[in-house]
Amino acid sequence: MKVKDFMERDVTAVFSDETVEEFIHACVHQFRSGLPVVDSEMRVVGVMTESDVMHAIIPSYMEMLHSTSFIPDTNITKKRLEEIKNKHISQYMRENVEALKTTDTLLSAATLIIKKSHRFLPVVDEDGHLAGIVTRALILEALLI
Amino acid sequence: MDVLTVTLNPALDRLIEIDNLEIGTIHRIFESEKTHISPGGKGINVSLYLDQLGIESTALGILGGLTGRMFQVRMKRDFDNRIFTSFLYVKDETRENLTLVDRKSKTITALNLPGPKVDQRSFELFMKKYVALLSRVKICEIGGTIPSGISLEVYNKMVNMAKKANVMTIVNAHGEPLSHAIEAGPDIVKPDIRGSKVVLGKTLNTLDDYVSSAKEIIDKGARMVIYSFEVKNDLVVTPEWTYLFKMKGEIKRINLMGTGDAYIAGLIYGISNGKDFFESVRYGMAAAIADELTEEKNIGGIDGMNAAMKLIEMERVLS
Repeated sequence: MKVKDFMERDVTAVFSDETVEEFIHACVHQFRSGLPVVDSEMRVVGVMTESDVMHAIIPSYMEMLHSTSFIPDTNITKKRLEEIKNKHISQYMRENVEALKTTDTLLSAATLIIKKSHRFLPVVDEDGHLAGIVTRALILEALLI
Repeated sequence: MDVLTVTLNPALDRLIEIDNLEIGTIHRIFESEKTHISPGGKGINVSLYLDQLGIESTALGILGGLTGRMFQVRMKRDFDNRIFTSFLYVKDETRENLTLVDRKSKTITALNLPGPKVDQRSFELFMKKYVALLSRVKICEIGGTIPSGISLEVYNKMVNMAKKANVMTIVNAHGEPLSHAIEAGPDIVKPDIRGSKVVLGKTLNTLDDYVSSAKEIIDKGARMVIYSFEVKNDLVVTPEWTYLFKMKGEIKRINLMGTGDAYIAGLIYGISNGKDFFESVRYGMAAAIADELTEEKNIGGIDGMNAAMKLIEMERVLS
């Protein structure tokens, strides 16, 4: 089975000059954890995820703590989000993301998405245009068939 | 994919069959097959029919709220994930159209709810998506109502953008949005005159009215104008010829919903397969007839459309 046979044919994406706030709303409205980033001709130029925003607003030392129970409040994080919410997502997105091709196999898609711990990956056609997305659930569903 | 369909105001269509509908009482529906939910809106329907004809398309639209999310899930599920989609989400809910069909008293009651309000920034993002998708297609179909917050001149802008991108445009709209679109000179215009027979400020009654209206639209830059005329016929006008495409005999019409959208899908099928406008119109009319023969939005694929071709005859209109 090829990627084109089980990918979601949704080419909803964001542009790199959209703001972080617009990206958050887009994810919430669409129940997505992230979205492909495209240029003006729908070529995939990166991926933006909710994790990218979280990393940008949560102090780096927090990741090393076992418990956050002693942190007095979330003001620092809120303030950081306030500072970046109007900035373009180009500053936070991940560029050079590996994208799947419509002709890739189910196994290669599963391998890539698990190996790199992606929740989803964009799928591109032969010219690099966004053709859809693949999520872990879609891979599992395809394996059931 | 070569075709883009644009639906600014998609709707989640709910159809409920109720016998002896009565206002002011509770009707309990126990049979699940008497309720149908389907994604709707002109462009969405065109994409659905194109899928039945084996033509890939991308459906671009504005969705909102949980209804919008349900719409998208139904798109994926009902059409087996075959139609490409691209949606911009806004906060307000996508509109719902409720149709109550009473087969006993032979009535149809429709309740069409309002669509979402689209703010300026969302509209800008939508247009950016539109332009990006234009770079990948050859034909763009634009039609339907316009949600609040968006200027009624939007179709004019969209046609001009498509022309700049060398994309063929087909406009299927009514009222003021149609008038603005016509000013931009789209390639093909199919005015939707189901609600009002006024186009460019003139009321259409006689065949001559239709012909002169079509010519006025041609003079503004269109290459072909298609008018539905007296239910069974279509008047088609190009700068070179004027024809009435007529349906021979009588058929048992089961469905009249979405036949205009089936028509456009058939037309696009013809054009995509290298046919000229005259031949493509035959495909369009055949697709519409095939759709009338079935209960729901279904033209029975290419075979269904081809079978309906034999029901069409053409008559030149001297003007």
